[in-house]
Amino acid sequence: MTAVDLGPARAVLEDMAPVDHGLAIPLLQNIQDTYGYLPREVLLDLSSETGIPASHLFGLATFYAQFYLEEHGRHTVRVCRGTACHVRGRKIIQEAIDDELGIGPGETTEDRRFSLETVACVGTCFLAPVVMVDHDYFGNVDPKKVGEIMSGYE
Amino acid sequence: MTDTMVESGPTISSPEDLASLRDQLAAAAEGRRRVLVCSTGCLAIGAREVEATFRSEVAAAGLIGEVDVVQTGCHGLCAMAPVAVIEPYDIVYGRNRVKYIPDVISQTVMNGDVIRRFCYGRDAAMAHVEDIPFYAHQTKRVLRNVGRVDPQRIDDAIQRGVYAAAGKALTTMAPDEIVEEVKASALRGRGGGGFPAGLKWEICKQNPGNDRYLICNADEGDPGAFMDRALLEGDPHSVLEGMIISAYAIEATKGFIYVRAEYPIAVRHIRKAIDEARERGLLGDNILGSGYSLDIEVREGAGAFVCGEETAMIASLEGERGMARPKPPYPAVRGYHGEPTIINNVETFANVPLIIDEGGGDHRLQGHQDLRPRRPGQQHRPRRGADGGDDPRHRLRRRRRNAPQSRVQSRPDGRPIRRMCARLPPGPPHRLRLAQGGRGDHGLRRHDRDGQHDVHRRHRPLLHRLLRR
Amino acid sequence: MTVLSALKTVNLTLDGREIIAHEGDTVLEAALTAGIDIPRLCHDPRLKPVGACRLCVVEIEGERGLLTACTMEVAEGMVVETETDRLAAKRKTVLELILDDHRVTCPTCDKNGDCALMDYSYRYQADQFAFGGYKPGPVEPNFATGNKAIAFDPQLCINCGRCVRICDEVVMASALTFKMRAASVEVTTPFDMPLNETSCVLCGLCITTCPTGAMYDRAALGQGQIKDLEKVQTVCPYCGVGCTIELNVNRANNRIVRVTSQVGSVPNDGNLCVKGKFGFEYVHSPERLTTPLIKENGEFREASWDEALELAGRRLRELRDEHGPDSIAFLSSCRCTNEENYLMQKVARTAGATNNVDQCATTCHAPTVAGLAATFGSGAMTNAIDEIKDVDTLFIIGSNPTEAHPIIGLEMKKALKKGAKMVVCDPRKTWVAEHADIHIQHKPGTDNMLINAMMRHILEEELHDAEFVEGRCENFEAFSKNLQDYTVAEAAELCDVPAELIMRAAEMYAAGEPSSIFYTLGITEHTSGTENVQNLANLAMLCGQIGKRSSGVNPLRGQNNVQGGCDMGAMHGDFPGYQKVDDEVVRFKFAEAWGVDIPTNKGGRVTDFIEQAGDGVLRGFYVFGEDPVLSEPNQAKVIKSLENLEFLVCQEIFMSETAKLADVILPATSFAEKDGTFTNTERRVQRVRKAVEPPGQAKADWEIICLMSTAMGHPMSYDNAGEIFDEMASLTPSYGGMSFERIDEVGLQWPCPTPDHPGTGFLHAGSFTRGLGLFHEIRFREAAELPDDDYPYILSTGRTLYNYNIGNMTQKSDAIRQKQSKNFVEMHASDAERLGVANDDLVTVTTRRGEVTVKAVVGDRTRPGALWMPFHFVDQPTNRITNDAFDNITRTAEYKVCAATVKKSAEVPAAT
Ligand SMILES: Cc1cc2nc3c(=O)[nH]c(=O)nc-3n(C[C@H](O)[C@H](O)[C@H](O)COP(=O)(O)O)c2cc1C
Ligand code: SF4
Ligand code: FES
Repeated sequence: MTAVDLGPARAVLEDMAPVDHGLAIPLLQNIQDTYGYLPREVLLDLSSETGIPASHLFGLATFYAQFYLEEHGRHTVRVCRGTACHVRGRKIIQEAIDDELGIGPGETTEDRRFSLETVACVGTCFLAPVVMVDHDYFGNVDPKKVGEIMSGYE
Repeated sequence: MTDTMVESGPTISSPEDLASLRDQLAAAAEGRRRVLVCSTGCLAIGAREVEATFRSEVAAAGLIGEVDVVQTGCHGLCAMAPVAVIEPYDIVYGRNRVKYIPDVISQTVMNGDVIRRFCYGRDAAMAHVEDIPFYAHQTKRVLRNVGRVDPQRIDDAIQRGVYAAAGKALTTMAPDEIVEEVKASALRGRGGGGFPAGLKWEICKQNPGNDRYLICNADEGDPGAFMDRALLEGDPHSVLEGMIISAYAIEATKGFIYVRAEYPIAVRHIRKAIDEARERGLLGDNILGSGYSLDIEVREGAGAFVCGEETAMIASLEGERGMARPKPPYPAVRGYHGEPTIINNVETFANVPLIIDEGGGDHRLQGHQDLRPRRPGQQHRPRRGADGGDDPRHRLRRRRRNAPQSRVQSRPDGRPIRRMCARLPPGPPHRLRLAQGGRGDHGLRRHDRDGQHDVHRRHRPLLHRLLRR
Repeated sequence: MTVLSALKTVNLTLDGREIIAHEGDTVLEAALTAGIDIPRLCHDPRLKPVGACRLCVVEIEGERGLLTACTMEVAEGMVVETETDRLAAKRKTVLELILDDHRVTCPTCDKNGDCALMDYSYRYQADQFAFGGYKPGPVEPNFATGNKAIAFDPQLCINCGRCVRICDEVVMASALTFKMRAASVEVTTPFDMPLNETSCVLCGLCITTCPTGAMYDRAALGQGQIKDLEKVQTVCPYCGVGCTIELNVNRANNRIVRVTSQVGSVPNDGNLCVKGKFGFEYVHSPERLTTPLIKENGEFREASWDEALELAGRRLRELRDEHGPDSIAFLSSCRCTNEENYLMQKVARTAGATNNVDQCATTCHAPTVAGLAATFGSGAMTNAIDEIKDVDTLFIIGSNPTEAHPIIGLEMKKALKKGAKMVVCDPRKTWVAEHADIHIQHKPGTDNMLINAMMRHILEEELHDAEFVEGRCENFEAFSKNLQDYTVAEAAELCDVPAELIMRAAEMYAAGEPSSIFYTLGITEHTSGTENVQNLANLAMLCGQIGKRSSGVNPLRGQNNVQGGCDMGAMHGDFPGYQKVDDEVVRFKFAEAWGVDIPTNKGGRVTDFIEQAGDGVLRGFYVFGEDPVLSEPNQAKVIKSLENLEFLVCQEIFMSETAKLADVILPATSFAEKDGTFTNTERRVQRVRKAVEPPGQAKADWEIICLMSTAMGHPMSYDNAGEIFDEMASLTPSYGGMSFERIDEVGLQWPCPTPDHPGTGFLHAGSFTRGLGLFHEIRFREAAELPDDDYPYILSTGRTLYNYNIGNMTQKSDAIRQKQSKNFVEMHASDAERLGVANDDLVTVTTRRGEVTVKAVVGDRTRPGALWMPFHFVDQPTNRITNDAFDNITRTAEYKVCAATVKKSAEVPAAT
């Protein structure tokens, strides 16, 4: 395991200072934005820097679905499993993604390009089935379009 | 981490400043040609290219300064995405295609000529907003600015009258008076619980605390719900205005908006709105010269559905695992850091400026879904009655199943579901199998369809059984 | 104006009974007070209620649905039903759902019979298979696997969260957490790290609070379930806090199986630290001494009691007779009971005919006794432990409470959670320092400069309590004149602290409502120890921060019974209760009672004894339960001196380093094997009870002392410890109202002069023991040995959480040894870098007196240029190198400052 550079984490802390307990979640969000996931060394370092117990940071990181403790894909594909999308075939979309990328929910492609997740309703039901890649929405997704969508992300 | 710069503008330090600015803006906007491109929901289906093309074509035609291309919130006709509205004619175009945009500019934008192919039902008779049955039978109240303003420009909001109610409330009304108005309006929480908002505020105010807090619940996690999203993306300033008035009413010292992270556009827009409001003196110290100060902080959710529940949300704001806490004590009594805290839904707050504008009693008479008091048998008062019919050719793109059509409708509460669904496009055997309400797990059974749609009634969720059949 | 009377009451009806409760109580609290036992699993009165288990639901009139009693506050006129058919059905279902997720292992579970889940399941006849039954998966290793103290079985865990919460809220160690959520939630450590690599302090509170057998004592497994055990209430044998503990004893094999403590116990409320919880193994150690030993030709041989006593008694008597009473000395033991200390000084003054008697206070808190007696009139903690939580400004100087006095540390944490401010003056970054509002990290040995500057600032800013100074103190003029020589600027320079901090600290202390001073050996173990104490007393008097609840000067005493050892007069100048030997009236009283002439020789302290032994003046020495070879400074010199003695008798439970030098060793008993009392640091006298039989021929110490007295020609005998206590109480006014009966359940705090006196929580209310408080003019004096070119570092010594004194008790515990078993030196990263030393490298620390080679712990806890070492380890003992320079008044050694040097060792670290 190569050592993780703590510099960017310290920079995030400095940006947000003063960080107390109440800001633990935004802190983790910013750290994840910075590293793409929450590296263990970083969390332990943040704990000693801020005085927020490592157990709290770990508890938060495992409670909230958006945090990853393992290295994650550069892009996160989220398939909506809300009612509308469910009814309009998100399963098939998920299968298409599996065909295209070879990953199921919770998995990451070997080249770390994509991670796949499902998410409870993204609030775009009128365009179901919906897929999000990072912050972009794709509506009325056709299984045939999956490849095309993915090709837009490096 | 705002990615867009906040434009600076004149600081607004009194309601008079606000009114005169509004007049100026309105005068300047009079008769302007604007292309309003939905840049929220429709982004999922190519709105970005549409907007970009409008811009480049406007530039190519040398019309910069004459034609504004504006990103707006959702127009409601999501099934026709991507949607654009052409002002000053109020012509609605759906299914915009990049390659026809030069035509749209030369014919519609510049001359007001309707191009049929983009109209609702491809019917020129339904080119204008008010002619479309879908809009015609709606009474847009909290959604009135959505689709009409650039949510990222505070001047647009001001021009449409946003913040006027805040000015009135903060400078002419005592906090308790506002609580009384809201009580009189019978406004009930839109987050699912349906608790009368004014009463909740009153309880909160009866509790001494060192500080009071106001939280806007924008976690909207119920599958199929996207009203809050539409508001935050399309008209964030009205939500802020509602929060400012409410915070003043309960004498809160700090506000939070807790937005789920699956709504990146909403997060961006509300952040920008806060920055702009702060820049212009509508948030921060001494708002509108009233002596009242408030700041509002945006917190993004981190992917836990349960955080929509108010006590879990408070835990999350405090930096804890978002676990619900037992009630009582209710947040109004002991909430954020143990202090009296009001949590209301986005839409609840968006109603508040209307109440201040109209007065609580009048507002109640509107009989709008937002307001119907929980009294069995009371009649709703829809503004429009009969059905305008629908275009038989407009078909829903159906996938594999006879699936529900969906769009944002703003309808009176208590309306028979059958009537609400009557305007679904008629198509192959149109059996109602399931209607899902805007909130919660309201799976409606077929034989419920003659029942009344009451957002606060819990229908038994028979979703799975229905689908299996 | 007490806090209690300010509480409003509320009337409510519980199960048809009219109840009066305090406003703010929960329904559960009100019910429990009224004797109504509402079932509950996630509730622990020490924790904030969370309402997680939903077993405590009740019906409240006018409320929809069932509400959790543990979170619901009482309200006027509330009508509550706690046990209805509907509730029973609901509870049954709750329990069945829990059982569905709980592997039922009762036959082999330690908790069998003592398990809340079991009791309630039985009470509501919950069906373990109602939802199909638990389907056990494979047993995976977890964070506690391999830990010798704490074990965890997730299959038994019901996720009530008590362990996680107690670790977080009460202990503030926050080693545990829940991971994941909903059905996959699990108790664990950050990243599932092994427990000993986390911030866990091994207090074991997770075990005692766990309502099931999920968290358990590793070592106790299989040693007995509740039906096999007897719980004996007694007092912890470790630090001066004096926690009430229960020894869970299996009579079948005469063994202590585990230690527990009840919520509500005084002063610890069921809380314990690692030593109290896991440090009892020494009692059953195979290294215990089991027979008397006599040294012949340099080798010990077993002997009979008669033979050993005859020899020891005769030799001491001979020496006394030949060379006069000053040729023999008695060292009493603060680890032992009041009764034994009483007897020890009695024997010294009767059979020994000498005032040469001392105990370990000289090593630690003698300056406290002397300094506070001189200023206030009595030398003890002025306040009670349960007052700490209400302190507004904690002023902590030279004290590391979370490690040395962990339960007092917990009380301070309570105060912090209630919003208290905290000023910490300590050269080292301790837990309290890191959590303080102001941390003054001054140079070791500069305390008086600092305190003088603070007081000067307070006077200049007129923040002092003029009324208090005027009305209750004397010698203020001279005192304030003395302060003119000390400015904040000078102090800032000399102590190497920003002036701003000194001023803010002074202001914060003066402004507290109230403030209280806490100090420990960082104040006393200096050549200016007594003056340091007097100066803290000055500070308190100046600000009027004494003589009220939660406000005063609070020395935290070290050994379990060092307060008692002093109280009992095991000191050359004092009889029990600090009655002075040089007071003729007092002497007459004791002569009368004991039937002897009381010697009038001056007597000395343990440090004198050792010097005199070296000089050949002292010839016979009776050492009881102490190990000066390890505990006194400059070890080589101590050994040489003791070897010079003509006769040394040791009464010990282990073959200590001192015992190895003895001529006769008498096998003694541990705290668990005898009756008596200990007096804790808050002056609370508490009962110690015999729980197990002593090993071999070992005898209760009070019996041995009697036998020794008899052997020395002064017959002495008592039937039991209570009889000794009664004699002592009859001669000691401050203990006069106490008896074993009165302190059976909960101890009493002295002064307690009469049988109806309730004891005294805080001292000096209204007036000081000596009348007016006496201001002293304290001059700053440098430490005896300052760094120079050859020895450029300042070495201080101190205690760690896991070990106690010389480690002979704590190091017998597997759990503690696993956590900490080797000596080390803390040094600052900047120094380490310069010396090329990395964390865990072996380094040699050298002083003018010797060297030790230990592991380096590199970090920022010490100041640059400072070294810090614990003194708990027999291998490479720290006191080999400490300085034998003494306080001018009490002859307490300056353990906190000596000049040292350090370099990387050539030795390779032993593989661990
Ligand atoms: C599991 C759960 C999820 C909830 N999710 C939301 C939500 O997404 N948005 C919301 O406004 N209220 C939600 N609520 C309701 C809130 O707890 C709370 O009642 C509401 O925010 C109060 O605002 P209102 O009075 O304006 O409705 C949820 C409640 C529960 C029990
Ligand atoms: S280990 Fe015990 S105390 Fe901790 S959550 Fe499980 S059952 Fe509760
Ligand atoms: S004891 Fe009240 S919910 Fe557990």
